[in-house]
Amino acid sequence: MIEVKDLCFAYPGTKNILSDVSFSLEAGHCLALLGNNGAGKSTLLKCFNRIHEPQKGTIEVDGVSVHAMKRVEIARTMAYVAQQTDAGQLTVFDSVLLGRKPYIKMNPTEEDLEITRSVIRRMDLERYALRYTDELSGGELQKVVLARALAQQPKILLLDEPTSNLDLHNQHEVMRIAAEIARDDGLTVIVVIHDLNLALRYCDRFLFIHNGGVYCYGDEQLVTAELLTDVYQVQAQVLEVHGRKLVFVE
Amino acid sequence: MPERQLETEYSKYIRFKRLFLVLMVILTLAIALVAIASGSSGLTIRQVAMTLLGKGTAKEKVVVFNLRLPRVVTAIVAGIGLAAVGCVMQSILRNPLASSSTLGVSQGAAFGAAFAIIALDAGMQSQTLDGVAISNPYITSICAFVGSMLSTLVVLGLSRIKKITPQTMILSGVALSSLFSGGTTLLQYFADDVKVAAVVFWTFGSLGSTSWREIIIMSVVVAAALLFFLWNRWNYNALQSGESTAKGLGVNTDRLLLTSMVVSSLTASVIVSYIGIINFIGLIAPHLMRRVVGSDYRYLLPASALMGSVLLLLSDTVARLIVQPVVLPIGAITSFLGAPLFLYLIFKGGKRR
Repeated sequence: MIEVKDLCFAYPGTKNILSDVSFSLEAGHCLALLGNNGAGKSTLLKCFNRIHEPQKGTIEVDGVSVHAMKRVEIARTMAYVAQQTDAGQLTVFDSVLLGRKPYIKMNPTEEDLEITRSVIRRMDLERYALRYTDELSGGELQKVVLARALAQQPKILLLDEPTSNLDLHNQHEVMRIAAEIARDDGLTVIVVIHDLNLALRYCDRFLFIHNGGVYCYGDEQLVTAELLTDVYQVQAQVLEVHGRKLVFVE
Repeated sequence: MPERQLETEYSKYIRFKRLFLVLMVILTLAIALVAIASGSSGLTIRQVAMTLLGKGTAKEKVVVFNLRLPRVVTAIVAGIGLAAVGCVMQSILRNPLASSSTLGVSQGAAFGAAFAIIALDAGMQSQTLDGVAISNPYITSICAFVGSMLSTLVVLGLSRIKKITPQTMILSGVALSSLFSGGTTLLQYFADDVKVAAVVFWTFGSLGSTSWREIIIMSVVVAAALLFFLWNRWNYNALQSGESTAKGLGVNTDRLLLTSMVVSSLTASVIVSYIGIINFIGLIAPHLMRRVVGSDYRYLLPASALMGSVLLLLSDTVARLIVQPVVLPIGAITSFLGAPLFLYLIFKGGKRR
């Protein structure tokens, strides 16, 4: 269970990017953070694991305040996948092994190596396990970065626009994996995403950020043509195709 | 890939990297033996080895222990230090051109040395085959050290006012370097010819003027820095994926940047204040090794450090032998050997394993 209360954040010398953001999320859900460019979605995501330190408000995970946790504890609780995918120049195996960093004291233990191997198998990365990450395609690299996050064995997965720069196949592949993880492992996934149709397909909770605050929060019933006009200033229809909601912008 | 195969393949890959490090140690020692044997005294490698084992003649002992060994140990220690610092700077500043001189360490040291030689009269005393003997090397080294650390402290101080980012650090370093260069030029402008010559010779760098006492000080600092860097090897690996990702993996990036910078600058300052300015080693050694062992700091750091000592030993041996009995300035030789190698790497590339 994640509980966000009255969260405010501003960069030094600027007005609030986030103002009094409050919501709660049960474990095992896949939450889409939606809104215009610059609305504060990525900033909110970075407040969860204290990449940004909020000026006011609290974030609690299972009743424990994130602000009271050490960085290593946070890294064992939440894994973060950045918007700019850059895995350095390590091999795929070592990139995934890096996810064990919050657990490694001096050298990786046999358990660390075993977890790394099992994540590599699960994500179907064995074929290029010993290739360097700067030789991979965008889709392969995104899977490696996701695998690294899984190797952290977190309770919460924070994904910042994981599908931007990916082709259609890889967009669905990455979101399918994220939704599967939430369903099968009981992980909570929070994903910043622009593609409403991808969000509607794979997420089960939706939080619209507008002007730094929560505009609305709920399940897919929330997504209506009126809401899209209010938030994005577009004329859109929300259709139902094969039992799924689909956004069609006119 | 079947389950067992992944395990075996990764073990093989790790074994290769470890074997490479062992080969680098052997290569360093072999070149050190050749370096000790090379010179006008005509010693053979066998004689050098026997002397090191305590079985040499009195003359051989004098040549090996008093003349050659301090020089060779200085090259090994300084090479390790400069290359390790360069390797770490390239990680924390996320800039492939970063090295020990990025924060103005070299220019600060040159200003300090110039100040000592010109204003405090620690200037030239006699011309030797090794260049120029500085009449008061202690004051020169101390001033060079103070100058280089001053540059670092100003950069770090400025970074406290504005948020520490690699960019602000590099830009402040460039500004400080320029300021110190200007200061050195002004000092030289008002000094007499003899002192100007002494300053110029100091900046050429020399491995031949360090005493055992200085070597011990340098070794302790370099060893401590290397331990600190190796302790943080996973943090440097995490930092390759960007600051946000590193924070997400539990790294306190601000503290890592600050402490690594202080340790790097301190180490570079100690080395530069004793042996003068040797620029290229810290830049090229990590780049060379990145082509062979990749960017995993568990292996890149020790491999770069060893490559640094190999390059410095080779450069010094060439500097001593190429126009005997004159010893050419080591700083120029490292650049002459390093630049073509660097260009070759850029255009030809290499195969990582």
